[in-house]
Amino acid sequence: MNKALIASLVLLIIASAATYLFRPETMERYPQVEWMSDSNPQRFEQTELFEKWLGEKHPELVKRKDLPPFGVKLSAANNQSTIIQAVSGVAGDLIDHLNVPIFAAMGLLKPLGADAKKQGFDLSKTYPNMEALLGYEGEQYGYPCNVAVSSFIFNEDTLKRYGMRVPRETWTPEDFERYSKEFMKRTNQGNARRTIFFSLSAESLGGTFITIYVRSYGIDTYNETLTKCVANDDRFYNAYELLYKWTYVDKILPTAAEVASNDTESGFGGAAFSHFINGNYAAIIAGRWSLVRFRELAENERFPMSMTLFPQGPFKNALISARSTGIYAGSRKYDMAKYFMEFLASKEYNDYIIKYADGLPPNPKYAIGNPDYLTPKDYPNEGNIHAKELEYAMTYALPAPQTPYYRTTGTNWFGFALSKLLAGRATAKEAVDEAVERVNRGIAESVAANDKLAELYRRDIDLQHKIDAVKNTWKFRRGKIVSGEKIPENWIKNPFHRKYYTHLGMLKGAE
Amino acid sequence: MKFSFDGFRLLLVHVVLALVATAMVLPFTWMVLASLKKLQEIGLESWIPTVFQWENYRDVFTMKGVQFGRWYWNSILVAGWVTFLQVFTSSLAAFSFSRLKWKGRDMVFLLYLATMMLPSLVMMIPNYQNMISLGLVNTLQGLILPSAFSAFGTFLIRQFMMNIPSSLDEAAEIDGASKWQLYWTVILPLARPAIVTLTIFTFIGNYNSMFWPLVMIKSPELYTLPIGMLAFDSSQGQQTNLLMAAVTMSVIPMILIFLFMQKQLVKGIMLGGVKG
Amino acid sequence: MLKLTRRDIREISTGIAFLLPNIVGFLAFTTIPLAISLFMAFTDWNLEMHNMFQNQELRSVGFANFRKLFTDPDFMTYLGNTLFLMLGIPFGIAGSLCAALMLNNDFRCSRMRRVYGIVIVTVILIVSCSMLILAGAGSTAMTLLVCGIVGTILVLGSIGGQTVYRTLFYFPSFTAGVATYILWKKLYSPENGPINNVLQPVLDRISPLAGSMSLETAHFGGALLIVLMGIIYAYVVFRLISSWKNGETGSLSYCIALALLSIPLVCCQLWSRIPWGGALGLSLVTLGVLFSLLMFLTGRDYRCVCDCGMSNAIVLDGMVMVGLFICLGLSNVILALPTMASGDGLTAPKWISDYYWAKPSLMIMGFWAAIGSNNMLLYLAGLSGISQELYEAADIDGASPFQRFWNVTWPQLSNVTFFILVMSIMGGLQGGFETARTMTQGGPAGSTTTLAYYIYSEGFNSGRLGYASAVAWTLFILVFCVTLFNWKFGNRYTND
Repeated sequence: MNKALIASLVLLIIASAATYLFRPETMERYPQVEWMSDSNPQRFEQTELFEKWLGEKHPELVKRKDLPPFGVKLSAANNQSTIIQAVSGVAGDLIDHLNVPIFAAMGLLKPLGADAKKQGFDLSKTYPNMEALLGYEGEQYGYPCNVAVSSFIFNEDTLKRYGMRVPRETWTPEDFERYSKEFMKRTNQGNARRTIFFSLSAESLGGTFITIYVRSYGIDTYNETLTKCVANDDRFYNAYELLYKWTYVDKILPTAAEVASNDTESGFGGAAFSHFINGNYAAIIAGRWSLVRFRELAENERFPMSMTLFPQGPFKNALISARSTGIYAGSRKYDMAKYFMEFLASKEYNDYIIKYADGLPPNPKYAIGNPDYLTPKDYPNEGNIHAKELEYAMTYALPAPQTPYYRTTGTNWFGFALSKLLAGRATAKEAVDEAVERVNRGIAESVAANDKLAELYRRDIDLQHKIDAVKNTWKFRRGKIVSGEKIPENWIKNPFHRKYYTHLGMLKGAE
Repeated sequence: MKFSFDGFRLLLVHVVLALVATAMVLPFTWMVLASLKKLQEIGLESWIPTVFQWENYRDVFTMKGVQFGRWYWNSILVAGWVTFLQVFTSSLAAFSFSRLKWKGRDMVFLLYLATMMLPSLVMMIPNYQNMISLGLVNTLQGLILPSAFSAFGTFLIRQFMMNIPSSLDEAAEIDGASKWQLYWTVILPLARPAIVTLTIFTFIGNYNSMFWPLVMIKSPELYTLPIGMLAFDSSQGQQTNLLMAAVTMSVIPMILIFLFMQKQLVKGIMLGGVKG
Repeated sequence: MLKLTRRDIREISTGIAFLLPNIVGFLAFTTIPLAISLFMAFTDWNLEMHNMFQNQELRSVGFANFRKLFTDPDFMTYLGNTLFLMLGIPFGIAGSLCAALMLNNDFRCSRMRRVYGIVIVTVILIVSCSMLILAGAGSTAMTLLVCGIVGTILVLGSIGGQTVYRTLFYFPSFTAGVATYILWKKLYSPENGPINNVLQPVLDRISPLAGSMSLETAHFGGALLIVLMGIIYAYVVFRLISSWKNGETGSLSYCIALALLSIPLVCCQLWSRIPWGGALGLSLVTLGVLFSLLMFLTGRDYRCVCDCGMSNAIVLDGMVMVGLFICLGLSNVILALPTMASGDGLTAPKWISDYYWAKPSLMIMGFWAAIGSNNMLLYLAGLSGISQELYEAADIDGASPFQRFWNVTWPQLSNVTFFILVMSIMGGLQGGFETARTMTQGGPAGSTTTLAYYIYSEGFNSGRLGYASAVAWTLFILVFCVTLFNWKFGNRYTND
């Protein structure tokens, strides 16, 4: 017994010593900046590309000929919420998949302003309307790794098979309904079980469709100053009811049960992509990034594709999202990490993204007018996807609604509302109202708890009162504004309203 | 007449037991067979792979982003340290509680007992704060320390030591042995069954523990198996065959311990359970 | 005043010296955190504001965290989830008991008979296998595989006896952890997991049958089950009354048992789709209560303590309650069957990705692990402790096997059962974290979020440490109540 105890102690000490000696840091030959990202194999290639780029672009940093001055180490597998790691002081130097405003508000990111200008990765070097995604209170904290605008992508072969044409680029929900009905009529006649669908289920269309729909009719989830959730509005109820109607009354969207019984294979991009390839879905909702999956197909299996906007009302818009990276406030390697940010805006990195179709390149400069981007030689079947997504990003795109006064944790209440409605456990109004109530309660709670936030909140509420006063002067005739004062641009925090009021001509310069 | 009826009944019992045992084993069978399949065959109805892909097991170790070997090593290292520390400190404490007489002993012991029923969840959050201030977040030491001292282990060993006859102590005292010698040469060897039970339970409990590592560890090279498997599942879980190979390998140490220690384990549960 | 002699001090210092390594860690990692945690529950500690990069002042908020918790619908939902998942406990205990009873058979026998047994087993195996193959039972390779496993286990079992089965039974609970949860997640995979691969063809065969079933038949079937519920209720209440009269069940135990039994019938009112189901349930409950009152008024033949028979009341009537719930559920399922089957046919459940199926899925998995768990070993130990004379006495009275079990085994095991039940309830209240984190992330839509997972996600995903501590302490109070209950009644029972 005693011998066993002593022996195990000795063994443990030896093992610990070995672990200590062979810990990864001691195996590195040159300094490493840690990049917390995902385990996509492409990330490894990007780190290699960075090391090569750094040596060529910044020879002044090179100390030894055979080694790059420093490298980027990918720290991929992550179980834990990044926020908790960051507040505990153990996050990586570079944080990927970042919700910039939330992190910045908590003081977890280094401001990039001055260096961004100097090294060329400031906001002017990416798409318009991205401040809300990359900054907080007028300061830049991040830069995208890639960008996407979610849109409808059609499999033209599938449409042709049933004698349909690709819808117009700007189509309305009524158009969508008509197309889908026609398509479903032609495809599933006499089948016991429906297997071919025009588009994805209501749950997959879900949030994106609703946001774009309501914005096209001039309302957003939050108000102009992001201080209140105002989704308890008929336009929101309509959007939810449409999804319900299309699923259960018109039966043009697959139900959850149909999706489940159809799915046979999952993999990168999920079962929906396989169905799209096989012609079971005529359309998917994705961006250029999905081409990574379709390029895996053999040449004779490829099919022509084309892209349109979401079906929507009069004010054209699209939803832009970005995978952003920022520098951790607790990082001791800021001086190295900022070079990686510069790399993200460089030609080398953007060419890589363009070549592998991993979304839109973060720096549009390298895509605009670039034939390698617009019409890749090897993939003529990809049609107008490249050109269209770039165009949408430059013109229609707006980021998804988000307020600094409410941090979604866990449940997305609007998604929850949709699933409640689809499961028949509530009407659209009940479900949406509950979500609005939840979000507004969340805002009140976080403002009450946080003095710093409360100060900003009071400032914004004042602005909101002023905005409301100005809006009261507006006179409408037949739904069009005929007279009224204009709102100063700097009062408005919500990127949607800024764009929408510009469109209405009711915005003036800063006051 | 009685003989044949009894025989038939026994046979029936055998059949029922075998069927239930099969239900117990079937998931594991699927696991092993799936780990030998090609990825495309996973969803098929037949469980048996057309070609046995033994290289799946090798591929788990060479996958990018999955440092399986290191996770294995970490798990065993952490579980080993925790087990050692727990057995050692608990046996010392149990010795003090059972073989030494001192004022206030029983009061302190009561305090120990009282904390045994506290949900460990209550302690997790402040312990995490503790670890932040000690700078042990994201280290293996931070995994080992909080679990190394247990009231349950002390209780288990004490109950056993209470039953060792006290004449042994007196004999040792006459020989002029110090208290430490009494502990080290007499009592500890005699408490073997309790210690073995505690060893097995602590090791397995720690090898499987997920909550604390999940909260504490951030760097993939410091993962233990449970959270490593979790990360594997969430990042590359669609590669079911490799995932199942990893699952199989992570279960193997438990199978080995189970098969070799079964007798002591069963004895230990009855010892700890019925009396506790 | 307490006076310490020099000898006392020497003794105490040796005692403490041995205790030191343990107690330092114990103080540092248990006692102090406990105090901090209690303090935190009354503050607005939030990592968003109190972290390495921002340090606002910590505010005391009094009982606001607790108030929020009880007004928050989430907390109640998650408490409900935790309790729902605990409904699996009686099944697990019953399974362990059955397993232990079967394992307790005397497998030791003469060598001749063992050989004889093996021969019989082999013959049966070959015959049944060939019959299965002749009947064309699916893909032959699979049939052979399963038959092979059963056969191997049978042969091994007839050679090794109890040990072989016990090992195999104990295996799932011993290895339970992230690895097996991931395994089950894959088994439950709705698209092409092995479970649905087997289930879907079966359902495809059934659905035309179910679809052709007329609405009247379905209605009749559902009604039959509701009536069955009523009959079971009446019978059990009748048994209860007579046992109260005999002085086997105390008044308090009686009330608890009656309350447990009445819950499903009251729920009929809410959930039963049979129009008169709710009314039947309510009227039966009223009758039961009236009868009880009547009985209380008329008095009884033997007096006994009010909590006598508590463990039987909870364990047995708890099981009956779960059984009644199942009847209710089945009746609704039968009612809905024709409509479900008439459309696209019956589809296999989506298990853990379905809002309604997620909890039952976790319970099925829990049952699998619970049969052969430590509880089975405890039962085995308990069974070996029952003296043979009791059985012999029962045999002399000409008791049937069932009576033997009911009158000898069950009462003798009651303290083990009570211990297991209390332990399981305490574990169940704190449980569900690992499965939720590994398999479902607490979803879909929060349907598998238990209190433990809620504490984790509030504390370590949202960073609201103060609130999470308040939830943890509320959970602690729940567990503490169970412990108190155990002290009050458990000891008395064990001493009986």
